[in-house]
Amino acid sequence: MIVRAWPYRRPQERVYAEAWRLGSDAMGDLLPHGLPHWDCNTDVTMSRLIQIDVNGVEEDCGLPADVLFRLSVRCWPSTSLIRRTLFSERFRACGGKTAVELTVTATGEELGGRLIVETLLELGEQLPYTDPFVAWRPGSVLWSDQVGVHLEGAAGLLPVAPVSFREAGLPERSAWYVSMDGGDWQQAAMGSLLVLLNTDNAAVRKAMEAERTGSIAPTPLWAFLEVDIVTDLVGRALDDDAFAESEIADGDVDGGEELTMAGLVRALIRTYLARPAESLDDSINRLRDERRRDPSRFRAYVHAGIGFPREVLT
Amino acid sequence: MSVLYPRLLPAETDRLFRMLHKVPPGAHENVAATHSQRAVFAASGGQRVSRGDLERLRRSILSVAAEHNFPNTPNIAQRNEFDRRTARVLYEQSRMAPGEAAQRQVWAFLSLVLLPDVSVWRWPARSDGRYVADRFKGTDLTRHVFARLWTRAHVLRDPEQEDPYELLPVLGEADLDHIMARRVGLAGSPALVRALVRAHRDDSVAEDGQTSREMLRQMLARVLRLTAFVDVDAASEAELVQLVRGVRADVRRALSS
Repeated sequence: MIVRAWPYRRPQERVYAEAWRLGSDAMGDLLPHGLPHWDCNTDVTMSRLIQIDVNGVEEDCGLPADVLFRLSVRCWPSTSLIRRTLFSERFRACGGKTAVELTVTATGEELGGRLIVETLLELGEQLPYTDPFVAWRPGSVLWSDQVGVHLEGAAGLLPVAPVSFREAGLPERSAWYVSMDGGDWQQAAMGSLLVLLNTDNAAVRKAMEAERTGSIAPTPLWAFLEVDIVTDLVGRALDDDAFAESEIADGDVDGGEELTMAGLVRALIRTYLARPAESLDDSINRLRDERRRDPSRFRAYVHAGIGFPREVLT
Repeated sequence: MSVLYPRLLPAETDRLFRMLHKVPPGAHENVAATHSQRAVFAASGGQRVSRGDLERLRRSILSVAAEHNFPNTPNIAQRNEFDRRTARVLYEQSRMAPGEAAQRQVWAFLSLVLLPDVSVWRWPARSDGRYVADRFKGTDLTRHVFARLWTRAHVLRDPEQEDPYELLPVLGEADLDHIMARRVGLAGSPALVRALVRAHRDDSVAEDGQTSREMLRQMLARVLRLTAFVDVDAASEAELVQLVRGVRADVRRALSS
């Protein structure tokens, strides 16, 4: 666990930030963990309310009265990591407390992977350096929080591409092909995985159309695909000694960094295959043994974890 | 509307990279193409680039290479100048959106399908006859033969200037790599990178035995430490200039003492 030691005092519970909402209505639906219908032509608009006890912040931080603050919102995608400031405004304490309704829009064509949005309360001006434990540089972060939204290619949202298998030289009558880079589990999941859907297959075409329009009854095909992805990806990792070594090196899945292949496998195991109160290491060892002993039983565990075939029954 | 580029499938990327080693030197032009059956486009979100546009992009980059001794071995100056010119051409002509440019399979297509001859010319095989995978496969976009040039152009480009690309030639290969490899702290903030490069350009005189490169490295290390608790992204250009100049003055004092 990383603990950041700040070189100055920071406020204690003086900022009350409500959850981000999707769209421009600060009372609208909560920002979901993922936006499955996102593509790079889709801008992401979100809003939230923030209340700041400005006098309390000044007091906690040892700042002079009526100091200038700055409230800003920045975002970056896990793919390029290039940050963009979406909102920035300076203000002083007026009557002790202030409330701000933030509405920001991230431009779709700059995004990809996972979108991270950070709200920051900062010192808005340079102060004389008088006390070693009081912020004095403009931009010094006094408070911040972060949220992440999966847009594509991480966790449950994998990049999918429709393609003619006949032209691509893949088995013409198959439904899909889960394309994976082999070997390096520290590679970013984004780009290492691609699910190809066969546009030559009538059932797949129909299912894609149903997904696009929402006008046709749900199909069981996607449930089969989910089983295939989890079985292939987790199974391949369990069979590979390099994955066992990567388990230690891999970072936190939710740490805002790009999700690695190893991180994705671990997330799938945690989500679908770990038993209650079982540690991740124990789950991995149990599943590895199970798969070596009886691959069919391993697949049965995947079915049970996913709840397959739930879409067929609904 | 964004322009979508073909994404070379991972297995095909590996296969074509292995194939590079089997093609005799000077014959990679024969395997160049504007299309691969093992490449796919994103399902939605933009307009697919046409084969004609890919052919024009290939011709433009080939033309820049030819001006810098392609297909013969270039010297360091020719390689650096090729990089600068190509960064500009690639950025302007590809019309690639940042989201698309962050897809490493797009870059694998460009290096292994569209421009294998230029790629191996720019990053030839090592003494053991092996090509460096990062330069071709896009596993690290800050090292890929073309992705790193697009990213440099994207980060250093300043549309407010008469020549938006005026900062591209300021730093050499090693110094630019030093900045771009620190994606989270430095290169994630294009305005900060521009301020750093400008400060270096305007104040690069070595004094008291201080080398220009040492000044830059020390400055980057100090700014990197600051970004752990200072938000530079919301800062105005004037604030960034003040911050960078202040750090540079501190470095100069520290190196002198």
